[in-house]
Amino acid sequence: MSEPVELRPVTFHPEVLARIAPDLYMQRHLSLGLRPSLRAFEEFRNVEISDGRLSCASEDSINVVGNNILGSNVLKCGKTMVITSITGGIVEDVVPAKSVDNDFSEPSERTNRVSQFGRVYPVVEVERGRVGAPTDEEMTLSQRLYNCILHSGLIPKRALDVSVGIRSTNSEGESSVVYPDEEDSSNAVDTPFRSKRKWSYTLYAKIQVFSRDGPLFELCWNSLLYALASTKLPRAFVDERTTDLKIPISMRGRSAVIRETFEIICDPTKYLPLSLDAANKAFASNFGVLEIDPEAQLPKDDDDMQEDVPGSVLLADVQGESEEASVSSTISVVTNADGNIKHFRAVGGTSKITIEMIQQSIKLAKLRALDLKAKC
Amino acid sequence: MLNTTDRRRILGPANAKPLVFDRSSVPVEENQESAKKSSVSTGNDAIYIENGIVVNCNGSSYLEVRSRTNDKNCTLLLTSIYGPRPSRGAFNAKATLSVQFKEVTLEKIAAGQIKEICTFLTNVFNAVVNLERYPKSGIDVFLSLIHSSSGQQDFELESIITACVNGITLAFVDAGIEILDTVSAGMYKRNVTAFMKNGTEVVGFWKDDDEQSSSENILEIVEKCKEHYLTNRKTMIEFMVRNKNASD
Amino acid sequence: MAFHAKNYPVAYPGQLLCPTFELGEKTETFQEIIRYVPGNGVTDEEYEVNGQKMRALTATVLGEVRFLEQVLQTVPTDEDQSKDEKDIGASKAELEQGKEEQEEEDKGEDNPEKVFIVTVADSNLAGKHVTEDFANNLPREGSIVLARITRISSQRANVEILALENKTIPVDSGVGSNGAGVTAPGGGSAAATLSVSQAAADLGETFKGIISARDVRATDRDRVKIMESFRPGDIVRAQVISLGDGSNYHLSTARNDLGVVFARAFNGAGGLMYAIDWQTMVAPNTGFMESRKCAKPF
Repeated sequence: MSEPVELRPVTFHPEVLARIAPDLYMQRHLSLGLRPSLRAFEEFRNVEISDGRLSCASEDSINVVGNNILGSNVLKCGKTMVITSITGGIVEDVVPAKSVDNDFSEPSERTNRVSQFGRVYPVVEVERGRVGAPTDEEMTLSQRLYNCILHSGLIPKRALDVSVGIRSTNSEGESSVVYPDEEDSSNAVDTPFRSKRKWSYTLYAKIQVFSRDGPLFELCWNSLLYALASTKLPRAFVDERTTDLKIPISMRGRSAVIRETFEIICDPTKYLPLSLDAANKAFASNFGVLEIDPEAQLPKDDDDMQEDVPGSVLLADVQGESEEASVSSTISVVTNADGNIKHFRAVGGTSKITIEMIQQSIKLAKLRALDLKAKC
Repeated sequence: MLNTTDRRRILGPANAKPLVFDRSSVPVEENQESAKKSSVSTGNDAIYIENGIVVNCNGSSYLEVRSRTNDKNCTLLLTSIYGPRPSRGAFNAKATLSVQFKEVTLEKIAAGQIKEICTFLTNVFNAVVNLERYPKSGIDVFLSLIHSSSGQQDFELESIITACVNGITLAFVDAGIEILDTVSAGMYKRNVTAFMKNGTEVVGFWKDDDEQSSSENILEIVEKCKEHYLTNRKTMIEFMVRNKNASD
Repeated sequence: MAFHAKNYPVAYPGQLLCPTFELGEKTETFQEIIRYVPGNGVTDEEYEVNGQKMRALTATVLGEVRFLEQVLQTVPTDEDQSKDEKDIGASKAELEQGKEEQEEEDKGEDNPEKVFIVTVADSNLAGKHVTEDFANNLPREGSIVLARITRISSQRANVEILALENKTIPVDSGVGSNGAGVTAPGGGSAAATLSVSQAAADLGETFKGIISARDVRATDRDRVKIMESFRPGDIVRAQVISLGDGSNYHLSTARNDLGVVFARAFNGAGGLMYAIDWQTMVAPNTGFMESRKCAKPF
């Protein structure tokens, strides 16, 4: 061809470009050494937390009557806000009749490891201006949180046991509650009822996310962790008069189903903190890996140093629409500062995740865990 | 929530029983007493407003209404507005407005009552939003009650509704959606009245059955609400103008 | 002092701005009439002042008040039309306007008349090249929009409208945060298919549009092949020709400056392509050419 073809580029305003071609917008930013959020590649957002004074156990709870929140947390990360509230329930454990006395025998098999840990049942809701059934994202998040809490061993099963006290009313009409772990061993009341039945608390977490602008698992996890750390379990007791009342509710042949009439009542004034396994307390961080597209780079001036542009970059704390739309390889690490990794997930998308990146992400996650732990 | 079958959420063991608190003990009752006293006085509350805190919607407002006499008596409400968004189906020359209400932490209000609140608010704002400006679209208002005060009952519907009306107006202003007036609501005992045009027009009236004000003339109640409305409106306008000037 | 010359502080919704008309300068021979017409962010409402009902302009959004003097046209119908374009919604005001106009004609033609369009807008946004105030700038007839091709068939191309020319779409209908991006798995899709019977669930994410084959180009309309004009994923600059039906706007690219502005080769797999003439685009790295109905770069 004798005549060179003239290419005339089309220009858009940055906001419009971000909308119509988020990947290109992202690449242009990267070629300047920045991210669209103006953070550096390995920079995290700051996290602010508070307990929101929502829990009924807290000193200055703003809602006293009718409150059944045991622990709470409000986490703000950038513009995103996560509100977690922990509520509870009581469930009766099925205890085999024989093993009543030795129920603390160590389950030695590894397969039984999970059975030593307590569970939390989370429901995540992400506000995005919709009503109706939970979205895929919400369901995935809830399930992931559930699995991670269980397998991390954060809550020892013992921490959820209810040590049921007994309320006795004396002749003057004054009632007092005696808890098994508080009473002196000398005048231990022999309650046949205590040794036979076993209850434990179940914990529910309601996690509400506002102004989502990035992957949420890490934010939800951290918020849930803070909320659990602030959780206080109420002391529970039964009324003395009802302990030995039993009513058969169905009779077939010689076997009867017996139901007790008593009800476990919680004491609104006495709380014990939920004891978490401190060694298993880990914090989550996420990373994205993005390949730099040589075609999309901004043209450099001729006198610029021809630096070697790395093939791909590791981005900490993915945020914003253009990042989320262009990053498809992600790494998620849940670890504590000592490198006790509780959860690791790498999703290989269009960009290759190298060993160095995995090492670097774990290193950064440990540093961040140290920082987040200080806020607890 | 404890015992319904729902395969989309993780619900926990089926035989779990909710915690039952012993409400007969003394210290709680004291709190209740003090709450009772302060919640009767209306208009004596401090309002904290912030807007634009939800970034994935078009406009939002955060309202903290706190009683001056009792710090524990407060309502926290987050309002976000989505839209105008395209609507499907038949051509509609006007925008469709919908209001959704949700409790974020505790769930104390019955579903039926929530529906009533939503209908009430939709009616109020159908009269207020300049719907003709937005053809073929829908505007969705999402109210998230983060906390409600502990009044004489477990929750106080009147103060929640008042906060809702004020919160929605502020969110509309934040979204830049045309509204005919800075609508606000005033509360008196268990009645809520929403006004526009400086109190000359009533756009909504909510009355709960209560003994306290049943003997009073309805016009008197509206007048009393108006006093509260005027202070609320003044606060909101002051906030908007100050906020605007600060951003310039 | 006339209302348009006054200095207004920040206007808030419901603030009274001015009456619909006022009397201006008066000499022996004529009486000047100043008329105020509501524009964006302003509406006219009936108010009761001292027991007397009157119409007045009030602000409907937060922002600064502006008065724009309109050059009066001789034929009143023309004026009506131009106003109509400015503000579709205020048809009621238009009627009112028409009535007054007739009355005025009866009075006599020598009276000079000034017309001001009153608008309230956020000055922060007005100064920018790109206003994010999509809420008050829904696509309407004549608007230039940027749209992405979502589906093609032999008769038409389906698009989703991403932005008005130099105006972004509201934040809440984006790709990642609320929509169905790659890493935002099915944020929208599950909710869309499993909706409850609420008004909000009937709402889609982005405004949709259709470009019919006959609206692709101005010449040789019968031989248009959609396949040779657009591909899914292309960004197209188009003009709204009608509000269409309930779900789709009707768009056209039948102008030199309209058409594909942004495309990737091989249905999105390749690199960016640039237009070399009105129906060919080339990928500079590979040299491959594909046919499109391109917009003349602006």
